[in-house]
Amino acid sequence: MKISALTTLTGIGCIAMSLLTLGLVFVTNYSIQQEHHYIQRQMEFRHLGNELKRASDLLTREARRYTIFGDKRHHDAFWREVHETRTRDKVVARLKEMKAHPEELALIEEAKANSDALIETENRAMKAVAEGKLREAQRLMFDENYDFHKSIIMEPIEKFQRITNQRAEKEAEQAQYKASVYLHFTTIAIVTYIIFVLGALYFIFIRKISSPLVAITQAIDLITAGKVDTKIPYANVKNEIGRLAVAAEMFKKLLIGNQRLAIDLQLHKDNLEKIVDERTMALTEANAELEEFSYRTSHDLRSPIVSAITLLGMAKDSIRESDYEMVNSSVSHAYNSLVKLEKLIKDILVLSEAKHRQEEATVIDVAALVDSVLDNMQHLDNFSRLTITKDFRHEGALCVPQSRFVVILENLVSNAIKYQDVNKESSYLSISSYCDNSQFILEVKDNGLGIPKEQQKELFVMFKRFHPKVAFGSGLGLYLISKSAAVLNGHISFSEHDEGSLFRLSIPANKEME
Amino acid sequence: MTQFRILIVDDSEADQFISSALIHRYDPAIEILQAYDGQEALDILAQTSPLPNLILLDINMPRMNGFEFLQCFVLDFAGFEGHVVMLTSSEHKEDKAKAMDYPVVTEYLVKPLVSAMVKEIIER
Repeated sequence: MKISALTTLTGIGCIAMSLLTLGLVFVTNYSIQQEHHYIQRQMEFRHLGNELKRASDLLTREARRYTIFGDKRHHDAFWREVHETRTRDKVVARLKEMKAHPEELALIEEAKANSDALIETENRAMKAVAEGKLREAQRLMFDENYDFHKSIIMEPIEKFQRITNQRAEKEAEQAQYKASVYLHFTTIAIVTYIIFVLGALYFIFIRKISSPLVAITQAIDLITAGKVDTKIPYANVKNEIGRLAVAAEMFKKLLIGNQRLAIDLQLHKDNLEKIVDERTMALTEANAELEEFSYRTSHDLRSPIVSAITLLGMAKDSIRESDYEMVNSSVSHAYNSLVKLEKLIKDILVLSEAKHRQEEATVIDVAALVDSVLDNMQHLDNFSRLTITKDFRHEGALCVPQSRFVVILENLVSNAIKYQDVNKESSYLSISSYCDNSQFILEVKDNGLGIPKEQQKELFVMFKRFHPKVAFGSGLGLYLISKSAAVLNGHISFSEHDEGSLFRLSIPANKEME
Repeated sequence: MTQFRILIVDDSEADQFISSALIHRYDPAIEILQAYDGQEALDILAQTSPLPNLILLDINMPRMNGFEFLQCFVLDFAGFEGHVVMLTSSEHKEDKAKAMDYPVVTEYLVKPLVSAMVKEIIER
């Protein structure tokens, strides 16, 4: 049942109980008042009877005293009571007002009538006194006849008092009984009301509302503290608490969803930051490389030109001085400087083309290309010293941008030729190829001067020369090889071999080779 | 009188020739030592006694450049009493500042070397 319906019913019940209790209280109060009324009525009846007796006694007493003492004061007091005070009449009138029972009223009227008869006797007695007949008067007042008539006045009065007492006692008892019963009912009603209220308080507000609310609130607190697997209680209850629990369950799901989103966002953010860091690092490296390139090219381009100009100036001075040996030396050095400059410019142009030129991959004949490159190198110094071996064990055709591959071949072969160790009896150059794990491998081995160990870490850095005295190099050859290999999605590596060098080019093999 | 010695450290044969010719034009009696990189210069200095009066030092050289040479030189030859004069194509302020940080470097000259410079640095 819905809590709102339960609360409404409880409210109606409380109101009904309250009304019932109020009614019982009212009735109880009324009964108690009735009881007090009957008791007071009883007391008044008694008082009225006593007044009647007193009035009769007063008349008798004053009449007798008058007959004894002849004092007119007694005579006046007697008639004052009869004509002015008129206690007897007042008693009867009051009884009529109090709606005395007719039987009881008749008794009082009987007593009054008897008293009136006696008044006649008392009047004769007082007249006798007035006539001087005291003995006569006293006889009238004190004889047995008078006492008899006196007693017949008191009898109805006493009967009246007896009856009215009995009746009033009975009525008071009844009223008291009723009041007592109503009081009991009222007490039961109040106790029942209290139990009902306490029960409603416990059952509805504590068990149905407060406890579930506390349990749900505690569950929500745990969930917001991080324990997202906390179960929401009362979710199956079909009332407002159940709906609240369902809402809390939705909140929990939203929170879990938000937490997952937050985690995903954080992961995504971390990934993005990682990518940004990587790209920034790459850009920083590229920028540093560009700055180094700018610095070195400006230096390496300017230096030979400055030297050539100075040397030609010196040659001019030497011609004037007829120092032709100096002229020859100066011009020769100037020539060499400009040759190196030309080589450097050519290498810079090749590097620039390697970086920017877009070239389609084509199927190349590796063996034929190697032969072609070797033919082009025959003019280099000490080429004829070399024992050249070739071993092409790869299967299928290689499909790559040809010019890039040629740049790599040319630089590897020319380095092997230029940097052979002429102090060794024989020098060799070995060019081989094979496929390994979906990679095409080209190896160029020699027993030349190699690379000094302390400089191997800078092998593929631009403008690094390792044997400047042996042969001139711009320092861009190995850098060009590494960039070209990267364009082919490959990798170039160096290792020491037979006191010489082993360069290994590894590029992804195309499908035809797998 | 002790012979004046100059060590020229430069990887360029042309610049070595120019410097040697200008020095000898100034004073043929000056002894010239030549090294083509910083490592070769340290090797020569280790075997030479007394040490040269003047070292003409290039910056951009293979194997060991001018700054790398200075780092080792000031440690290995702390008692050097001569001068080191930078002779380089680099006009970068950073290079000049870096070189002049070394107390042993007394001058920073940009190539080309001319006779007037030779006279000045030797006479100093």
